[in-house]
Formats: sequence, C-alpha cells, structure tokens
Amino acid sequence: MRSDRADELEARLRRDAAQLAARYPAQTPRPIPGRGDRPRSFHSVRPLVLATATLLIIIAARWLPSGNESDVPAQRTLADASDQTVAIGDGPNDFAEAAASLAPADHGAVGAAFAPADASQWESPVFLLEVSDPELEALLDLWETDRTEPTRLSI
Amino acid sequence: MNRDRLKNRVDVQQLVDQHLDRIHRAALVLCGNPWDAEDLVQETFLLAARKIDGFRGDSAPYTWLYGILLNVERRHRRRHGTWRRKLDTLYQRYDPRSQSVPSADRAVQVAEWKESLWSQVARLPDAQRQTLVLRFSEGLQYEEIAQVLSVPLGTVKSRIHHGLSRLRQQLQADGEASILPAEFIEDLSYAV
Repeated sequence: MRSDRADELEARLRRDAAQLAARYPAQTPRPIPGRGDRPRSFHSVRPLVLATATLLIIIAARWLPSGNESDVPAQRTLADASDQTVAIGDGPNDFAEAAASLAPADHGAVGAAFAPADASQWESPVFLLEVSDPELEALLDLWETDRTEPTRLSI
Repeated sequence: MNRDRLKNRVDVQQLVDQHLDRIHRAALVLCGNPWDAEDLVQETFLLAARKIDGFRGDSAPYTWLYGILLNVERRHRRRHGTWRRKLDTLYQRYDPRSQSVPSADRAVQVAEWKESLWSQVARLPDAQRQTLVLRFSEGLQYEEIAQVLSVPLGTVKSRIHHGLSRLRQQLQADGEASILPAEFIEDLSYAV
C-alpha cells in the first residue's frame, strides 16, 4: 500500500513536470556567444573605462573655463572691493547706475550694490546683489562707456 | 566524451540546440514560472559558453549543464528572497489601495503552478528539492545526480527518500484526498 502511494507520488511528479514543460515550451534563446566571441565583463573593460573617464576629466579641466576665468567677472564681496569705488543705490532700479560707477581694480569686476534707504547708513557696509545675465550685460555696457571716470552715485 | 572531442565537435550553439529543452524544463520546475525560467536558461548557457574550456568531459554535457543551472537557480532564489523581504517591508508601509492588479495571464500561470505538485516540492529544502527535480523531472540516474550535485550516491538516495517523505507529509497536512486542495496556500513567494 505504501509502495503504491510512493509510486503514485513519483508518477504525479513526472506527469506534472511534463505538463508544465508542454504548457510552457522553451523559447528560442537569444544568441549565445561562441568561445571566440564572448561578452566582456565589466571587470575586463574596467581599466579602459577608468582611463577614458580620467582623460575626459583632464580635458574638461583644461578647456572648460572656471568661474574666475570667464569673461563675466565673479561676484565679489565688499571686502574684495574695499579699495575700489563703491556705488550705492537704494534698490533694484538703481542697479545699472550703481554698477556703472564701479571702478574695479582688476579687469572688469562689476557689481551692483545698494544700501538701505536710510541715508545715515550710506557709508555702512552695503549689500552686493546678484544680477541676472541680461542685467550684467547691461551693466558692463554702461561701465564700458565711461570706465575712466566712475561715478559715485547718490540717492 | 573527453574534453578535446568536446572542443572539436561541440560548440556552444550545439550545446544549446541539444539540451535547451531539458534545461528549460528543469528551470521551469525549479522556479515555477516561465519568465524566470527563461532567465535561468539564458544565464545557464551564457555561463556554459564562458566556462566551456573548464569542462573536463568527465561527465555528459547535460549533467554539467544541470550543475550550472542549479547554481544559477540557487543564487537567483537567494536574491529573490532578499527582494521579497524588501518588498514586504515596503508593502507594510504602503497603502494597499494603490496596488497594481496582476495581469490575467500571470494569474493563470500562478494558478497552474499552484495545481502542480512541484509547487509543493518548492517548499522543500534546497538539497531535497534539487535532487527530486533531477530524479523525477529530468529522469537522471542516481549516479548522474551524484555527479551533478557532487555528493555520494548514498546521499542522493537519502535526499530522495527524505524529500518524498516530507512531500507526503505536506500533502497529508493539507488534505491527501485531493492531493492539492483548493484552499491550500503554499509558499508562492518564488512564483509570484
């Protein structure tokens, strides 16, 4: 009896395996590479990848301008501009005029500054503001027109 | 077939042509679904292609391929178990109302797997499970199974005996009359 049950179980296993295989036949596999055409693992190409990446970084560092080397001057703090003429305005609308009056010590350092409206604080540290590219272009144009005589603006 | 003869006469593509069906059947029975079976088969033959120089020819090519398949499947199963645990963790934090609905095809495939006795075998320990697959799905002789698994002949017989006993206990625990009752809930983590 027990042997019959064991045989039945084994027969059922064989039959179910055959049924599964018949229900889901093997698909044609994707091309298998031959011995002379084996895929290269990442480990085998890693030195090449690393060398290429290093080369690209070197090229990028050599040819891409950094912020300090670009034609557009980097924004400076007032401490940087302590020996320069600093223009003071009282709001965003005075950006162009204020910046036009700046006389940077080196090439083309241009900034826009404004002080609080309170006149008593005009000589106090002023705030250097960020300007957008179009605004900066406009400021540079203004500065170029009269770079020899920067104007100290007042409100 | 010795190594030189294999090198000369059997290239990888021939290996695929000759043994694809049996390797696919074993993969299907091991993992319980056609999509994972395809992956297992593909990975098995890719590994065979890379390692064919290391095949000593001491055994038949298909026993060598079964050995690769079992290693691939064991790794696949372990990886899947890790994913499953991670998914379970995510699921516990997730709103069940936003779950996607499984496709009808997949539901049918899962149902077919549940009805197969091999879904019960999938619950057995790896050693017993793999031995039963090689014996009753693939029809290998005890000596061939011993070669594939690199274990003594006695171990093969022992695993088959204990595997069948445990399988029978599982079936009895769930109602032997229908062998696989409808309400049976097996570990489908590997099939779904």
